[in-house]
Amino acid sequence: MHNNNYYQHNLPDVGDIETGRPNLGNMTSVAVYRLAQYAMRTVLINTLGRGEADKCFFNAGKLAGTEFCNKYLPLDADFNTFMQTLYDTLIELKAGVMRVEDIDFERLEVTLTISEDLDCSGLPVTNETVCTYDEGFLAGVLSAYLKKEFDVKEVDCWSTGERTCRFKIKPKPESYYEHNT
Amino acid sequence: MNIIHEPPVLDIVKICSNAIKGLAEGEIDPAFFRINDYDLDVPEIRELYYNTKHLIEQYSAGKNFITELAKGNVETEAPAKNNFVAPYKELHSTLRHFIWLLKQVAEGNYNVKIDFSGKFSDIFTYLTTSLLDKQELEKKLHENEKILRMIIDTAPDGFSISTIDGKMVYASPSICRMFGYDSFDEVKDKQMLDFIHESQYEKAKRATEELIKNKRTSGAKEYLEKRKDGSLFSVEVAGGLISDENGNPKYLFFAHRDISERLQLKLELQKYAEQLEASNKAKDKFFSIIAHDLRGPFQAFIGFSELLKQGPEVLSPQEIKQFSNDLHQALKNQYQLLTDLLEWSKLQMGRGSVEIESVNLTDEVSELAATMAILTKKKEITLQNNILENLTVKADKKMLRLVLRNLISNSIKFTNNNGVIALAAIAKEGFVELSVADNGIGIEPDDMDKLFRIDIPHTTKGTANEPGTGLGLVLCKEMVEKQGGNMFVESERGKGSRFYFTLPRC
Repeated sequence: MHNNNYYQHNLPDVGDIETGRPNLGNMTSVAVYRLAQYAMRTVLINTLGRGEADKCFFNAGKLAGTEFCNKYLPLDADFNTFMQTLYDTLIELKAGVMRVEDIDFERLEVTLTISEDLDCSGLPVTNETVCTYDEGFLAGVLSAYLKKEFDVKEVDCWSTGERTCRFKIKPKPESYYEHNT
Repeated sequence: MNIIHEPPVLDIVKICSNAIKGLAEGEIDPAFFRINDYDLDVPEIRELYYNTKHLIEQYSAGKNFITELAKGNVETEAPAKNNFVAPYKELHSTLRHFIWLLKQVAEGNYNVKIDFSGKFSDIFTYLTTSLLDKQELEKKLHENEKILRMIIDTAPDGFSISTIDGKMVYASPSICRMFGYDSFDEVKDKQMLDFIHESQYEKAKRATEELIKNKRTSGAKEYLEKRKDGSLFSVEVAGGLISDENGNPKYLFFAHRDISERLQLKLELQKYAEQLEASNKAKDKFFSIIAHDLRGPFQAFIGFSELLKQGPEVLSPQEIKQFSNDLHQALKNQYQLLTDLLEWSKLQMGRGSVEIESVNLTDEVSELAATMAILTKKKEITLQNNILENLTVKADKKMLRLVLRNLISNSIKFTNNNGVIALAAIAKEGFVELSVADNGIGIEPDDMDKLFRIDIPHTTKGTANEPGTGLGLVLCKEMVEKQGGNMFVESERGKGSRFYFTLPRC
């Protein structure tokens, strides 16, 4: 039986999927994922309100992004190699097609897009961005790599009628990453 | 009273309709922009107006975006939440990502690929793959260059590259060390001929011309070359031609090897070989001389013992005493000779030394002549000592005796009974010339050159059939030379011979 902190502290430990799912394997349906996410989203919005629900999703994404970065990405690689690995890994995991649009190395400001996004691509247009989890995920990845806190804002989304999600990323002013042990 | 004109509802519908139509045609009726809020009392009409306005704004923003994109302004910001240009925004995103990738390629990171735009992706991937291959090749080339440079830098041989007209463009550290320069900067732009001794210019020019003409490496050639301090040393140089991609000669490559130590070693080996050969010859001579000079005096022993053998019946007591004394003297002479020979052999083997001292020639020759008189007795030869002047020479006394003894013995051998042997000495500038002359049978002209040569066996029997080895004169000449003199001979067949030699005068 797990204690209450088990998942909080052992997020990368998603289990031995190969052993646990010998027949069904590592792949699943996007619909199942979205059903789970949007069901939780609906419940959270209904319970906490839109703002608090978005915060929960952002923080969850950030935690996942941090652990994902620590587990799968080369923390000591140069930036271009790091981003290329992130791109390759997201493709491999079929999470989305990430493309860097622009990087300002002096300001550490990044614009990137994610097409075929696991969270939103194909959703009905609601004129609202919905990839809050992705925002947090990207913030977590970059924070783990660059040891700085980042703000991530989705400016375009499938749900706003776009074909690709666009994220504007910039460091939080005067704030440094504090490793959450 | 102001009369407010309120456009009829239908007019606003018509204006909106025209605006939408104008949107499609590219020109919007300005009347649309003159509509005010207070014209819009009817909620449905207000909604129609604002929807049309939003449509126009979205369309205009989209059109501006596409126009900028068409101009190539990829840096333009895409309008957010604009469904009109959603596919263009995807293209915009793709182009901006592509630019980011190109920047990486420009910075040398070829490990990037794109997976969009169909054939374009293939070509881009082909480009980056080619660049990666080239980068890998360059890396290997760089590694090979490093290895080669390590070999060149540590090799004892030096390597240089010059232009076809001989201007140096590269010199390995070994070259700098070999020629005494601190760094390549000191030799840069010098002519290759600057390193070669003037006497070798033509040889070097010819070799270079052949190299260019034959377009292949040349065999190693030896040159006398100059160090920075002007000192000369021997270098072995092999050359090669470096051509450009069209096969035209571009550079000359030279490998230089300092062979001065090798030549020195060769000289030393040659010297050792000569010493060894001389030592071998000396050994041979030693045994021959021992055989020759030990045997000679035995004739005297036999002569005296034959005389003594006649006994008191034939000989008087005085004669017995005389012959016994003579025999004793002959034995003493033989002992002395043996001692001298051993001394000489030590000299030949490098275990002895020439002891030069002042020797009173008159005394020395008189004493020797007296001891040799007994040998002349049998042939009734007269031994004349004509050295009257009091002369002093620088000589090794033992060697001088041996030389004179040999020359006198030689003269006795080739002089007939009742002949005359004359000893003489003449003082000349810086030296004294001693001579032993006889009126014997003389020497054949053809044999004159063979007298002093160890490598040509030559011996002639004496007038009384005395045997000889021909080594006596060789020994004499060598001993004279060791004392700083020279030996000569002059002879006339049937009239006699004269051997003379010089010694430094005191």
